[in-house]
Amino acid sequence: MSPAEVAAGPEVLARALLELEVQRFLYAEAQLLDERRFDEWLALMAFDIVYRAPVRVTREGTEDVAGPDELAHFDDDYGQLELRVQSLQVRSAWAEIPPSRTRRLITNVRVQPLDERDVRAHSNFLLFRARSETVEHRFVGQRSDVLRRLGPDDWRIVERTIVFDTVAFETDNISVLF
Amino acid sequence: MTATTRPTAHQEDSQSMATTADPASNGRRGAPAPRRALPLVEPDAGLLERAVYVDEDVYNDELERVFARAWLYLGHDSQIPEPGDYMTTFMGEDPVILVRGSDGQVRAFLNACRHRGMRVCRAEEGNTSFFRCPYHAWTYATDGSLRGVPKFREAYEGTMAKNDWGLVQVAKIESRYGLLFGTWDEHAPSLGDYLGGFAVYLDLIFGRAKGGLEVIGGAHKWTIETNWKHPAENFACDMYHVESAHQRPAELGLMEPLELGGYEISAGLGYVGHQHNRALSSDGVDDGMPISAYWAMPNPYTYVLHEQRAAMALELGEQLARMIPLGHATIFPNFSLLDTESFRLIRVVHPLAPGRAMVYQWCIVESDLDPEVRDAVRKQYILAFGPAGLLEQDDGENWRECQNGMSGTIGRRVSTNMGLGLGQDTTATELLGTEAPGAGGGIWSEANQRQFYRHWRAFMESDSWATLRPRLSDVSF
Repeated sequence: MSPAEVAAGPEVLARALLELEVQRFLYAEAQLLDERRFDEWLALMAFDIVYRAPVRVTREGTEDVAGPDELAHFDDDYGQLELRVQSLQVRSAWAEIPPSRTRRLITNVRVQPLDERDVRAHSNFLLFRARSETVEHRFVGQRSDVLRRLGPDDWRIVERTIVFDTVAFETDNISVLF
Repeated sequence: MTATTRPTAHQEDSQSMATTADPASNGRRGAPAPRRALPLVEPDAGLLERAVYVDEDVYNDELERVFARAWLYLGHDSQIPEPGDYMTTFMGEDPVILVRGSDGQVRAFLNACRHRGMRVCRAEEGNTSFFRCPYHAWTYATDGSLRGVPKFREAYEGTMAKNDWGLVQVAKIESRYGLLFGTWDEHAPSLGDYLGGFAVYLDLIFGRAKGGLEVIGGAHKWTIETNWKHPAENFACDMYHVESAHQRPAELGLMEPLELGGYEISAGLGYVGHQHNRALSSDGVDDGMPISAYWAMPNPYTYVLHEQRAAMALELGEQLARMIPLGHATIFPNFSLLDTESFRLIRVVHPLAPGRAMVYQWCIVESDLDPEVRDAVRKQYILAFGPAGLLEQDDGENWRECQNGMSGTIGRRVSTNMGLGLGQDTTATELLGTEAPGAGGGIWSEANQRQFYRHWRAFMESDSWATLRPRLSDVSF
């Protein structure tokens, strides 16, 4: 079988289309956050979402991602995410008034089908935040998502684990979503 | 009286170092003379020249006169339970290792090889039987002693005694409720003397956990482009900022309006404040509402607080027990905590530069907490007060902008207004309606901040603990 025949095989093609669809979803999702369309972003979350960002700890020779019963930057269910989304839109959201200008770069998307509906998607991110005239912050890391396909180009995020590369953030706070 | 006129301990010491080069001094000597005269600090008038937050010389003097001298928070027993367990932190700008030796004793050391100064430990936590510097492989035991020096026989024999070249050790360590504090200054008073009457409030905050305390794994660490004193004084005394700075959770219905009654009390070198909680009879344990209905979320920790208040009422009386949870607190200079109806946090704000600070923050819980309650406490803490917390986010923004507003030439000459509740100060006994140590003001008072700067000024104007002790006694309650 030639390389061309392999590439054209139906399974390979289906997988490529799936990856393309997931990428398209992740890019569109990032755009919603960059454009501060928070309610539309929240609508992409499944009601049973688990949204976590465990802290990192430099531990010699062992796992450096904090465990589920340890500290996290986010350890949210849908209700808590809803609070965060609301909190970004009230009159007194001082950390985001005036609003930060954010740019999310989503790369290295890898997709692994889990079953008929769900896929595991890994992606790398760089979130750049600019505030006022000269305040600039960068958040870098990897996300591991479980995404559920409800229909063509219609996905929900069921699980998101954000693993930052940073131990001590040089960002004054973390008032942005990932 | 002021240290500016003091002759030259620094120079004397420098000379003695130059002539005797005494390695047994562990490389340490007395504090140098201050770099500049102190800016205007008049707590009694509620005035504070803003140079104290932005001036480079003031900052460097603080590192010598406050951070090389005061009792500083290091870590909690529960983070280093076994022999060989260690964690790293800072004392002022100095990197420090806190380690439980193979003999079970807790010690702390400057995290710097005596040979070329490289940090001998570059992890945040772990377990080890030795610290080996990667640069030239000088190797230290967990008691700080120098054990291994490559080419010792060939090149150092007879000219260097290993005993003189152990890791520089923190002079004293003491603990309260497992909270470990250390000081570089062997002449510092005991931690008990340092805390003074604050011990009573510390007992209400931590001593009420009869089954002991433990720190939840992991730490929140982040920098804020601000002077370390902004967060420290905020936790010492600032119910005033809650309604505006934390209007966001109130707008969301997460926080109920503050009660009018409350207290800001200073005792010893500690400061604590909160609104008055509800009486024991109306704790609302039946409906699951928080004990002071201040952070309005479902909160299983309420039941624990209820039991603790009942137990502490038998020990200390109902009036003091009713203070639980005690709200915000700072121990001079940079250890702070929050004791709320849904979680406790502890934090250190390390100075990095005049306009830059590093927060290390942990969630501390009762060791015998039911797993479900423990998890609820952990989550409430994360949602509210990590760097992504709905309350903490806005503090970071505000403190950065405080620093920005006062860093210019004119800005640093201007005085800060610290006059909230000036002239209304009274005793803790009066404020709490029962005999209690300390003094301060009501909920709308900056009494504790004024007291923080009385202490700060005493530290900055004293050459040693010998002169500092009477100064602190004069101003403390």
